Amino acid sequence: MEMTQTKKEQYEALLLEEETVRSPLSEFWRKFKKQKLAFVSFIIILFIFVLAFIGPYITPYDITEPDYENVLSGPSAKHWAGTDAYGRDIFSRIIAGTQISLFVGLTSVFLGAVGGTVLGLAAGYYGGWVDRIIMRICDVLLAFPGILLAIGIIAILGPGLGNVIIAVAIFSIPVFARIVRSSTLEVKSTLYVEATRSIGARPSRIIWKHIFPGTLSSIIVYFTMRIGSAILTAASLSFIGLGAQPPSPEWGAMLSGGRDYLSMAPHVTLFPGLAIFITVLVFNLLGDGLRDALDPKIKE
Amino acid sequence: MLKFFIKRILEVIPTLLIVTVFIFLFVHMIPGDAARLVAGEDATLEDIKLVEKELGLDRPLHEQYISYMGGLLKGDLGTSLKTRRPVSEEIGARFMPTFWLTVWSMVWAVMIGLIIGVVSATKRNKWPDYVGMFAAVSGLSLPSFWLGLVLIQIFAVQLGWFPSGGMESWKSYILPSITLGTGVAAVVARFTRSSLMDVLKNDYIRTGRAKGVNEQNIVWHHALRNALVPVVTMTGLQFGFLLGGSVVIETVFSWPGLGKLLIDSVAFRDYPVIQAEMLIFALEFIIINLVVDLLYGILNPQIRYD
Amino acid sequence: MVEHVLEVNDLQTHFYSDAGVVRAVDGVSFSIKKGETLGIVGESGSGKSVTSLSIMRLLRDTPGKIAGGEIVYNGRNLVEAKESEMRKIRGNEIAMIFQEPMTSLNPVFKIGRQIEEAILLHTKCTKQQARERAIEMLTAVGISRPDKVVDSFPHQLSGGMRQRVMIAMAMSCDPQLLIADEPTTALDVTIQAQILELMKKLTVDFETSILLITHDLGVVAEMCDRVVVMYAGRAVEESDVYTIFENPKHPYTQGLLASTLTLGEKVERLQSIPGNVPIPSKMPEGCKFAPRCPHAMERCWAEEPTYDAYSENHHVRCFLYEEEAK
Repeated sequence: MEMTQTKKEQYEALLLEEETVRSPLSEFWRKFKKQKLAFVSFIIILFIFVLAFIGPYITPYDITEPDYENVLSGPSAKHWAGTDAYGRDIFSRIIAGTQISLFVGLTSVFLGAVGGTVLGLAAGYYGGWVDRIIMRICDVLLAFPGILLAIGIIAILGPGLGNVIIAVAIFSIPVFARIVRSSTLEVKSTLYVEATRSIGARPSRIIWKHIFPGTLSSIIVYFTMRIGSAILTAASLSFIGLGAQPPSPEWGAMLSGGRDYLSMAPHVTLFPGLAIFITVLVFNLLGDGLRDALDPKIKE
Repeated sequence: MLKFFIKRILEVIPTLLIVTVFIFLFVHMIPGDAARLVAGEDATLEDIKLVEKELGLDRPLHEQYISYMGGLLKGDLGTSLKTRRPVSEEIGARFMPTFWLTVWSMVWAVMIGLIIGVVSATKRNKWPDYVGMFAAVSGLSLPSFWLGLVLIQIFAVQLGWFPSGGMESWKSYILPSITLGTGVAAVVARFTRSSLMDVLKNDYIRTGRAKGVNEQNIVWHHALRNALVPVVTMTGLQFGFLLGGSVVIETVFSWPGLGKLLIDSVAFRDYPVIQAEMLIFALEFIIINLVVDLLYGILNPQIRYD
Repeated sequence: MVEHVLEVNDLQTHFYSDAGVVRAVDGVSFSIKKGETLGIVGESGSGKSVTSLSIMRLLRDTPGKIAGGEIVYNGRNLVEAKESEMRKIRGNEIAMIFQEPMTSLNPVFKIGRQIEEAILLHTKCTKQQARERAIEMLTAVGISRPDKVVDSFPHQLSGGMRQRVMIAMAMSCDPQLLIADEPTTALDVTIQAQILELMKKLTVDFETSILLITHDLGVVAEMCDRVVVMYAGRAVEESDVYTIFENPKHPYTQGLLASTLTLGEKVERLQSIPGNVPIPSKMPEGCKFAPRCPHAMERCWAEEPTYDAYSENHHVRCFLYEEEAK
């Protein structure tokens, strides 16, 4: 068969050959795998998750029991990251603290994302005075720069980890609201939403079925990128004494406890800080990779 | 141009007003009885009444707001519950140290950020780009208070080059400014890189090359001037990051600024001071963003002449 | 021998990517005499713009590299020239104007500064002299109130005005060759005619040779002395403008002519030629035009015809004329 085919027929066959069509998911996976740093970060994040679940059960030492024989001893074979002012094993406390930082980071960003997404969808979809009021509230929230809004909220609610979560969540709301609003406006202007609306679908259905999926990729990218900064903010608040209180093995609180021994025992601050840094770094790298793979605007 | 300026200045006023309402309502948002909370657990009824009067909580809400605003316009921010001194005095002495700390942090952060961003954009996907961008994402991920402690450990404790805290000479500024500016430098570097890469794809860049302009001139003149326009806007927003960050950094370096006062006040529940601090920070941030907006108008001829 | 300003011999410009090598320009040859206007015609994707960027050695923003052939400008092979030498040629001896006047001027610099920059780069003069020259050039391209326009920003000018500015900038150093890549495509029809008229006048006044890249045969008829027709990276026919219009040989040229008859009509897709330019990953093996050619023979699918002289000033790449060419 092949032999009798003319060159012309061969070419026509070539033209008919389908370009390999990839599903959005496999297309994403193909691009994401190319981001080596993001891929490695993803694996480290999985490891951090595992540590968060099993951490408290596998610590080599008890994390609260003082050991006055071993106060502020440097890193050794027995205590890999040394011990703190109460002789507690810092390595064990870092492992046990993983779940606190991860929980605070994830919950606060999740709450902020939900709140911001709802507000952003409403503002973008309804426009008019709804939009103006929501955006004005966001402007006001954003007028309190950075961590200050969180400090203000804690000044009202009082110190503590639970209030830190609420504070960080509130401080994430306006940022998500703005992003979701702008992508809602973008999706809204595309034809298929116009078409759905002319069929007479209910607004809630249009928002949920047609607009929300269109904004999802920017929400995912931003969600990931925000976790890192939420962990940082929470650790900062604990460090200045407004978040987790000692003897909690929260990393920021551990650092705060080690400040007084900085010249004698720098390892007390060094290792918890390193833990925060690495955790935040892998979330940021993952966020960068997701952005490059998901967000077509940033693509070349 | 003048029209643009006036329009932007007028736009800020409603935000400012709402911010004052927000800050005014602050004390009222405290769950439970604020006065009882402030007065302490074993306070007598008279004590609580006294605090209530001091915070102005015994009058109707609108009356309270009007007298609050009246006080604001006269520069009266109330009396500190802790020191019994006027809040304006407490804050006045501490404003400049924080201001200069944020300004110097910003200056070095923008300089370093721009250089890293430009080098990364022009050497994209080569090793300077990889090194620069990894440094940037690391800078973004560093807990600033930890970086401060590490710098103190190395440069103050070990080497003794700089003081570990306080504000005595220009040397005192070095470590806190580096600590505070690192995150912003990282953001500026990343943003400059992507902005410059976008600009370099433009037709007018090709026109420049077709004219015979050399590559350095293309990047630092033709392209950077355009790339700076969005970078400037973003830098204004980063000032907020610095103001917030200063609160934490001042604690690390025992800096006699607003941030340290704020944290002490939160611990003491000194609400008049907290309120005044929030107001000052918000005001400063709003004003800086306004200035940046106006600067944006100057940089971008399309706005300047419309 | 006639003096040639530019001779392009068997130019090869290839694009390198993960997917493989694309021969965007694959063996193009032509030459331009002093004062002559040569048109390169073809659909988008035919490699005509890549050819012009190759001559300017401005491929750095594309994945392209010159893989072979010669570009001889006044006796020098530009393919081998250093970047620093090219910078002295660009904007000075060979200038270029582009398709998009709206985006080709830097939005943050004043018009005057952008023209002066070229003058200051290539001639020894003071800023004051450069400014005077800029105003002189703006006057030459027919801009009224040039003393006001020098201090304007690009967004204050219309598209036609901006293209005039681009021409003023290109002509400011008195180049020997002007490469115009679709200079009128983005403009209104009436403005198009004005710009073409202006370019024609300038070539006479300044004795500049022009390489005009276009897909618009109306523009060719108006402007050119000779024409090269390009298809899928190859030159398929070349002759003087009368011969091309009166006696086109290549089936592609014939199709092009049949599809466009009026001046200024935009031809994005050719009605009378079925199909499209083949995409790089699906190039036919033999003649690249075979899939769309009404005269395609079995042989056309198997091997590619050579670019032969049909008569002294008429080259064709087609098997139909093989006998006559020899």
